[in-house]
Amino acid sequence: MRKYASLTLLLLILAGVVVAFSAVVGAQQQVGPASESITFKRYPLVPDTIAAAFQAGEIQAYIFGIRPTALEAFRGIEAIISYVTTPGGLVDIILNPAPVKTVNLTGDHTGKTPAEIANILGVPENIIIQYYYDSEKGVTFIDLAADGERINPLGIKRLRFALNFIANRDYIVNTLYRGYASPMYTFLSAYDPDYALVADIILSYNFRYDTYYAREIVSKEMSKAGAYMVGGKWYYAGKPVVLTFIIRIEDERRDIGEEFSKDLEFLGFTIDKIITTFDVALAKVYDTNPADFEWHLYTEGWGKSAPDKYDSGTINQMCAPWVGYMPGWQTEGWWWYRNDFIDEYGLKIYRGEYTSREERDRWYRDVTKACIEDSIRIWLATRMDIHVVVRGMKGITTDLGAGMRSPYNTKGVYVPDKPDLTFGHLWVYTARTVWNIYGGFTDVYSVDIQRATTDPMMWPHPHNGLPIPIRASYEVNTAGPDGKLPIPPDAIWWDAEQGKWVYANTLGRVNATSVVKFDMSKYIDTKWHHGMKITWADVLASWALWLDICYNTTKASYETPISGPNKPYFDTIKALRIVGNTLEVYLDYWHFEPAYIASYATLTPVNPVELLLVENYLVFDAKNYTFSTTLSTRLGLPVLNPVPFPDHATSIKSVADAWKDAGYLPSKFFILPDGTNLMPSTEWSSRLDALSTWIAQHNHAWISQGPYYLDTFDRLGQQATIRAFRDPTYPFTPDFWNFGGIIPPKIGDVIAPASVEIGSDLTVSLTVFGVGPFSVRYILREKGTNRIMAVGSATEVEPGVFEVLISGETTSELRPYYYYELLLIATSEVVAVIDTTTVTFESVPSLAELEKSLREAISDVARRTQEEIESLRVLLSQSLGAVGETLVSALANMSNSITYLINVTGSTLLTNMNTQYNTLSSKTDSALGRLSAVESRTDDLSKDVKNLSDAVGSLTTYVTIVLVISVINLIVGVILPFVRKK
Amino acid sequence: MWVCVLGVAEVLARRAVFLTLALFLAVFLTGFVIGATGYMDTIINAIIDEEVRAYRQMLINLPQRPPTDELERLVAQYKQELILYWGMDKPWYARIFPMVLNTMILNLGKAQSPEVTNVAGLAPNSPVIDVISSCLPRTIFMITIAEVIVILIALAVGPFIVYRIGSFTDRLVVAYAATMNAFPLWWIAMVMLLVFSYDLRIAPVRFREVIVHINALLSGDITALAGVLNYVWLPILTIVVVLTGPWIYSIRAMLIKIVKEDFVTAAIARGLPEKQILRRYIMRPAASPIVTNVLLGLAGTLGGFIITESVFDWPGMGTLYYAAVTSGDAPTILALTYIFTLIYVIARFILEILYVILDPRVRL
Repeated sequence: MRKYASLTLLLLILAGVVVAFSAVVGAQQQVGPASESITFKRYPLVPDTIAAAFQAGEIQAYIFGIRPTALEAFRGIEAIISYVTTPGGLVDIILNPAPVKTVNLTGDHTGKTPAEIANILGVPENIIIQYYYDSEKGVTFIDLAADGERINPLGIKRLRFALNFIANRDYIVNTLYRGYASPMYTFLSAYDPDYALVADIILSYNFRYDTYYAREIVSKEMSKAGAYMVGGKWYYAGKPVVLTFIIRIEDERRDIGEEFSKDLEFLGFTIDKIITTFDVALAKVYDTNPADFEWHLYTEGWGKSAPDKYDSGTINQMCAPWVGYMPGWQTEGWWWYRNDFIDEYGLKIYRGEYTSREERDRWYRDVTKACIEDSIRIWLATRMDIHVVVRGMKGITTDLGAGMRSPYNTKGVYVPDKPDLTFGHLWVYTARTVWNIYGGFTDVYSVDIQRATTDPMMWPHPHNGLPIPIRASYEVNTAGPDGKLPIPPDAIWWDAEQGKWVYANTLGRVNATSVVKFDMSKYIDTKWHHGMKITWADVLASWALWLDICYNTTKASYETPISGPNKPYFDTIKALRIVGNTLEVYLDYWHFEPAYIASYATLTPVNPVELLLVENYLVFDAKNYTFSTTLSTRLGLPVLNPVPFPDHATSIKSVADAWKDAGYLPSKFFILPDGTNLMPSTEWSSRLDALSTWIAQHNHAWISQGPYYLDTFDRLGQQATIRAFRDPTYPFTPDFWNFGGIIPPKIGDVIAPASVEIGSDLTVSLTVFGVGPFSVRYILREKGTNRIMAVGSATEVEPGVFEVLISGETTSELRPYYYYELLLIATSEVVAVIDTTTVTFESVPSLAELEKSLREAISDVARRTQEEIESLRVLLSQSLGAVGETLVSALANMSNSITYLINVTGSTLLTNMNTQYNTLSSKTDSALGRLSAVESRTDDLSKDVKNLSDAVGSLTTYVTIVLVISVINLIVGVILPFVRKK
Repeated sequence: MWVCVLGVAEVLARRAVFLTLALFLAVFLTGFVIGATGYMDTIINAIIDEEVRAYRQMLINLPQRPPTDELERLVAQYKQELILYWGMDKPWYARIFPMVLNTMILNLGKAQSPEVTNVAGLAPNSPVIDVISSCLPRTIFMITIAEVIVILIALAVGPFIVYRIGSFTDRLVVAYAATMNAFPLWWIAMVMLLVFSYDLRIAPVRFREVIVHINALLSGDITALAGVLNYVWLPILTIVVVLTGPWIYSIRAMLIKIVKEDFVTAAIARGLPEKQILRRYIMRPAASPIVTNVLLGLAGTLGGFIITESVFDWPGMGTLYYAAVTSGDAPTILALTYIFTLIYVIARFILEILYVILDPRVRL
């Protein structure tokens, strides 16, 4: 009986365990987002009010960026909140390098150096800003920064560069931005993936706040240009040199401008500050010819775009004149800043004309260097946006592009025991908010909600911006950059003019640079929010409708604000092909990184096809609405916005109902060239029903496929609620969205000698921790002069362990007893943030050098001793005459003996030393041991030298005694005979 | 009698003509000032620049970015669109004066700036009349009603204390008035919000939603009144708390002057009852200035309180005016100026009529 009882108990325990385990597993496998609902509500950007809302438990996150200066309001509630930061904006001071005079020379002189041009013109070289050839006029124009009457100091390149040293970035970052910022020395900051690529270039300039250094350069350049200083102020042609500084009043840029002004005054400039609002500032800076000098400096600000693993936009935007963001702004009739080198290579990067990553990286580095040296912008800081969340919030991903606004966060965060969250935002709806996929989603407020409701095929990695598969894994085949792949005969393309799917080959589309094969099984047969299955009809019709907008003559010429920017992209897409659950996209695009090719080829099915078709009907056929705001303004029609405006959704519903009643099916979008019909009429009817029902229930027309669906949207009440979509076909569990925090690379142990022997190889080993793969670059710099001795990459000898090898050839360039700094920069392929450390050491002469010095010293001792003896011999010879000859002879012998003795002794000593050195050399396996040994041998050597010196000293004493005895002997010998005579 | 009536009519007609001219002149001058000074152009150019820069930045950073020549073409095209949209292809007078004339015939046009339509919660490019008619009721529900309550309290308390000058009650009222006069309304609003909404939690935290209830109420849904009251009581209470003191003080000051008049002293000496003296000898002569204050005060409320509206996130007329001025939306600025001036002119005209009724001397 007891046996049965035990068995029963055991079974019960097992059953309990199984049930518990099932519950746990079940809970873990619940698909959809991490929370049950999120309500977005408008809260004005009043920090006290927001803090009170947190305190009252009204909101669990505030996802509009709060400025660091506003954090005071949160002081009392820091126990219940925490901050999520993300780079939010860039701050710089743009300089106006316009000329005060432009002269010209007949013919093309662009091949000449500035010095040669200066010689021809008879002006100082440094005032030549730029020169360029006008082939139509046949003259070379030369822009001058000074003309004898006026001067623009900011036209002098070296002087502009010097202003980097009056930017007190530490103060800006730590005081003005309360530490919620990162210093910038060029257009990239430590949060940009490409920063690692150029970090060594930036660090090589040793930028620091050093107003005296800046003043030294400025003095030199201003004097060269013909300016002179009176009472601490620069004058030119009898007038003070005045710089007009436009300072924005609205934010921290006011303090930045004030600080920079003080330092400019320290340099000797007279500053005319104009502290003003955006409209006046913009009018003065961007709406006037730089050569009119309405401004010289301006505290510029930029929004921070999301990180891009391989940047091609920002470098052009901030450095290349062709984009139109450099002084002159490419405005016809105005003076322009020019830099042909930056333009040429910037454009190559922008157009992707590289053939390998190495080439792209090299160009990127070259342009960055040129950009820094031209210093049209003095970069100051990347300002962080601060998002506030309740302390207990889990599942937060550090997204360097969007912070808490990231879809990774909206989909992945939760607060234990609080399934329904409320996020405060500055707005939920603004007049710029448009919810249609063709012309809308240009404001952050709609985008933040929409992204939580839609799963893209690919999306940038939150830590480094590299596109990663989300709902479609991929495989890339490419023949690029120069080759071509054949497009299979069964690949299809939408013929927009004929309005039907055709075989791509029939349109002459026979080859493409690359093909991306997307596995669409996480879309196909999963469900839209209104319950209908996602099918190939949705995927292909999404493509067809876009192609219609771009290539159908009527549509393309109607919605030009949409067709214009998008057509160049679709021009590069050649064909589509469906193979099982795979969508193949053939395209003329190449990138060295396959993820970029794949990302380029994505067109995510965002809305069900019936919704898209009705929307297209309302815009292009009924012409009741427009897709773009631009066309809306032009035609006076409302822009289709079926989420904020329920009447627009009702229009969609009416068309859906009418189509259903009429049995209308736009079948041309669904019939493939082989006759396959992707949309049976019964399914179409069900879809129209589902669409109509959805609009009736939710009062809006936003249906998508993400982990949340949009439940309600209240435009006037500024409130929207998204709810969990937990359909079993949905492919992801909440943990899919959680990428956690960034683990930046961290340099650990660095093993380096305290000194380096000139001419010997220098080896430094270091360990990097974090999430690899890592790479390490180094810069060897002379501390006193900041001279760069070497730049290079370390070798990874084992995972995470790197070795920097600086050759003896390089160290032979080092100067003895100088201090050198080895700057080590560790980067990771996974995260954008870098780590740096420095090692300082002294250079010491090599042992060979030391031996040579010793030999010289010994020879010198021997030579001097011989000289002394020789002079003594001469003296004695003169003093004692013939009597002393014997003695002299003896002395000569003695001298020879001494010389022999010294030579033999020295030689033996040196032999010994050599032996010791050989021994030392054989013991050089360990750097540290070798150093100690060298020290020890050096001590020995020192002792030997001392002994030798003592020996030489004793010999001199001995000779002296012998001489004295000899003299006494001589005297006794002379006097004694006389004594005998007595 | 008829002569007298004709005289009054002539006086009123002259006033009406004068006020109408003043109305037109105000709108014309506003248009002239915003146009001739370059104020409007500066703002609009800055907006165009910002939009074009943002558009270019967006295109450059597109993963599927256009080729450079296409980029330039698109940017130039976009800029041209904006220039045409804002009318910047024409000189200021060619833009502003037709607008002024249209405004005068109540053809208010469409709001140009999204910031303006945003205040109303409407789509961009909505008619100005729709924008204003969306915002005006919000201001009336909050500020005008509060002002009416304040005036009623002041009219009740002012005469009551005028006989008790120097008493504790009088001192209390004066001290209260002085104190409230010293505090900015928006600051008290913040305090009230923190106390009633966040600490006591008896008032809403977000007031935006009142718009939904106001719209429902105006469309005939009487049940929405409860919703409106739920949101409106705290802003009204705040305004009443702050403005009652100064209003009482101003009524008191007006009445004190009259109390010291000989005819009042004589009436008191004759032993007339206090109520009778107050009604006949004090309130009647004081009626004109009091009515002037009341009417102009009420008319003034329609302009809204910019900062207080902002504190309560209550997008009324003050917020609308601010958005229009800062975004250079000329049609809205002109329309608001016109409407505010029109309200003022109507108030003035009503006052002219009331003066005739209240003060026999005016008829002479």
